[in-house]
Amino acid sequence: MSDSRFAAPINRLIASLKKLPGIGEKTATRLALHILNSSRKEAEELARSVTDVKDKISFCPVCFNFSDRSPCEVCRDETRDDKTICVVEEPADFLAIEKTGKYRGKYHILQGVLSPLDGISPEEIKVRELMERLRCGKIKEVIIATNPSVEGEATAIYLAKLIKPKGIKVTRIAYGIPVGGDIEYTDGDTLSRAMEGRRDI
Amino acid sequence: MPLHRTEAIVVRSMDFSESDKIVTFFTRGFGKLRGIAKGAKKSKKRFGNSLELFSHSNLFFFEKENLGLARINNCNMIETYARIQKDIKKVACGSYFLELIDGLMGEREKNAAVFSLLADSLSLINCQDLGTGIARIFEIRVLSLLGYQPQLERCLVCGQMLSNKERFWFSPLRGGIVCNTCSTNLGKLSPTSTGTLRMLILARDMEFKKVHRLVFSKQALRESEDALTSFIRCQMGKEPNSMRFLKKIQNLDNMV
Ligand SMILES: [Zn+2]
Ligand SMILES: [Zn+2]
Repeated sequence: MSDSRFAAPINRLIASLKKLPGIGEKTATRLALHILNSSRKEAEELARSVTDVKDKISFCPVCFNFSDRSPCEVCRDETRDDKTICVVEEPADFLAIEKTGKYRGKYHILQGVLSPLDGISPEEIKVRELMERLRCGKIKEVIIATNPSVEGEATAIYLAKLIKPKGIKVTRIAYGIPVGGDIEYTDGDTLSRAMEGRRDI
Repeated sequence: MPLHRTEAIVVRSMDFSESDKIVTFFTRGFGKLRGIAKGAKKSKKRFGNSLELFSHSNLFFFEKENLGLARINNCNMIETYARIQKDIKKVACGSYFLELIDGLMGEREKNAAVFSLLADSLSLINCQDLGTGIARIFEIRVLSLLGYQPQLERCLVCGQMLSNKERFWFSPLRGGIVCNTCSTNLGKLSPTSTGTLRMLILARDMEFKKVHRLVFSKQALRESEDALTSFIRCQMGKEPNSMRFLKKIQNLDNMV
């Protein structure tokens, strides 16, 4: 939908902004007009940081987190416990757990969660890559920290069934996080307790 | 804005903004209904897990003037079907039920019999091992309740009754069976033996509380899956995601 009150370049910007999650027509228009009113320098900075993330950031080939180095800082860090892997859905969940400062192992970012309705099967997320990492025999524990949603829970149990036969301990973080909750939005204290109180599955 | 109450099952739940969710319910009293749950993403105090997939609750909502997005006030949980999520195949099968209802029914198209079928079917896969025929039983029953009822008793062209003497084929495009004589120039057809067709008629007509006793033979499973899923693909214009998911998961299983 384009508004004939605006020139075509403005409508194109509105259309691009509208594709962002949680942004509707009204917000997109407000943002576009804000950008239009800002200085050329500010607008260029915004444009450059958008292209920069595409040029400079890629996925760590080990844990599949975003990184500007390969492998990423966390995978390189030798002071971290390399016998434990914490599996999360998204980079935002990694950030939330890192912020607690309580966990010192490694991570694996699935880049999604199994979802039959959206057609996301194990092949669409980083399951095979996780199983590959476990083959080295060094890993003693896999902590599954997917969200406590139907999809997150089903993914956790699916992974546990794959991993346990390999003789590796599999735990699920304990949910002080309420069912239906979202790790990204869980406060640090609750999340720390959830990590400490993890249980075998 | 009056407050309404109806029994509801979550068909889809999606994050809307930083803090809200947009949830599609299939309800007993209002059919398929989309609503916004303010603050549901950030705080779980108000809604708990009642906005999760499959959750079955008494839904209280405010109707907007223009019948657009309803405003979800609260949900009193009836059943979470919590054992479904312990098995990814059950999640896929349950998701398939939801996807069929979402895909085959229009907004606010009320059908209490379909609602009961959904609740009963979720309850069945929640309580029991996943019988291989349950997806077929759901398909044939939901199709017949929605008036798509495929013709399984007689040839669509000449009217010849189903019998052991004749071979029959299922035409997904025409939505029914044709006899061997009438089967030329009808496009893609699925072979369906008389045994398979009789099984499907039984699955469609018997009391739901007895359907878990039906045991499909390998041939009946293969043939009815082929016939019904092609028919559904024709009606929905695409293969349902959860059906594709289910096939992929089964292939991965076979590889291990
Ligand atoms: Zn890494
Ligand atoms: Zn005929």
